[in-house]
Amino acid sequence: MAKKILTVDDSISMRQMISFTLRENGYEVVEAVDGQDAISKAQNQSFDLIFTDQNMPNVDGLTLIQLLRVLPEHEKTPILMLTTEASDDMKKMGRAAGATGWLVKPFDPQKLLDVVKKVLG
Amino acid sequence: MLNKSLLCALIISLLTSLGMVSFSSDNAGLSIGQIATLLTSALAWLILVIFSQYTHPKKQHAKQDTNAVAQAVHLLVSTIQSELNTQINAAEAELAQVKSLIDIAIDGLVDSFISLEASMRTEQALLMLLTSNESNGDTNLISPFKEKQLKSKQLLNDIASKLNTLIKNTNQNELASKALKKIEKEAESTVKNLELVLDKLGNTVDAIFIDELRNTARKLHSSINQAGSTADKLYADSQVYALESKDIASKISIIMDENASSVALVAEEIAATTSQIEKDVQSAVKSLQFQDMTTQLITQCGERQKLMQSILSGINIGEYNSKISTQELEAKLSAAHAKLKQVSDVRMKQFNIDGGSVELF
Repeated sequence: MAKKILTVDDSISMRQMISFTLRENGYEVVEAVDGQDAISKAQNQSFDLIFTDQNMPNVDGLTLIQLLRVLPEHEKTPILMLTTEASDDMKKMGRAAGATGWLVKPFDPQKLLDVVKKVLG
Repeated sequence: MLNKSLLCALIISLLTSLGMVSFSSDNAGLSIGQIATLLTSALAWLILVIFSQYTHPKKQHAKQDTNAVAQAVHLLVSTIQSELNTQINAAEAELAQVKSLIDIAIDGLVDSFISLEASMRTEQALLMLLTSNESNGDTNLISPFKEKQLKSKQLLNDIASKLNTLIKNTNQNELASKALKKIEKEAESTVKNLELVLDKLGNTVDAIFIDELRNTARKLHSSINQAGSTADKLYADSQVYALESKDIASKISIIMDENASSVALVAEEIAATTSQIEKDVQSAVKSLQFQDMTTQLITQCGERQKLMQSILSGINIGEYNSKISTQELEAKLSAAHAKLKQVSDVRMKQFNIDGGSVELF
């Protein structure tokens, strides 16, 4: 059975590129337009991995992680930040919020797939 | 047809076994070991004979053989039963005779004992009288009486000993009689069981084994014939297929040889093209990300610049900097906007923005 991945980004082209890269390699992908949309989708279904951008309208990436960690079904779901933010301070904040890893845009498709394989075991 | 030598052996075994069984009035009975030997011998021969039927080369006579064996075993069982009954009856008759003799002997002995005891008492009284006379000097009268008394005592002891022996023998005979009865019951039970086993064996051999063996043999024969014809057909077909396959294979081989070099070349080209497509796709994905990010950045800068422009146009510049007029400021911002647009066309590398870095916590 294919692993299910949620990708959260307000940029439609970015969502499409992430989805294209993952679907081409056999993963099932669900897209969310921002943090609020991601919360509503994460309450109804479980995911094996979540990618989220940081700067988004309504609910940003770090807040989204904190909200997801409260949900019992996503207490241990791997969550990777995929953002243009690359400062150490932001990374520390992400780690404190409960992020599993930090990827800086623009991503290399092969590296992204390697990380996914590693995280999903 | 039944193996005659086996039947002879069976009868000889029966007679030998019967010869081993003997009855003696001294120990009054058959031993359990003798009975067991007899029955074990019979059962062993039965199994041997039935086994010989199963391995008999002519299966069509197996049923007759089985009946003959069953009759022989029935005869054996009847003979054992008859012999046992005869011996038990003889033992009981002899025991009754011994008992009556013992009773007569005991009665005689008791009478003798009573009369002897009476005479001894008389003699004792007389002895006492004579003893008193002896003290008066008459000793010749005492000695014969004393000797007679001693003999009587000896006789009494002998009679008591014989009585004890007779009683002991009687008890032993009773025990032997009981053991004989027990053996008789066990023998009857064993014979019944043997008959049941024989019936079952006979029925099984008659109803199932022989008929099934015969049917199986017929089916096997039929199957072998069918398999043989099928095999012949398959062999003929396979020869045709083999020739056709060989022909096709040789044609394919020729075609492959002719096109081997071009096929290899095309395969290499396809592999190279596939690899190139993969690289191009990855590159396109990265480029599109750059484009997307740059577009977002420009949009945001533009919005900020417009916001700042509207703010600045609403402020009395003279309060802050009387040297710069609003028109001049707007002109500078417009120039900056234009410059920003020019910069946006410049390509940005991934390492310029630390893009693609991965860090797992």
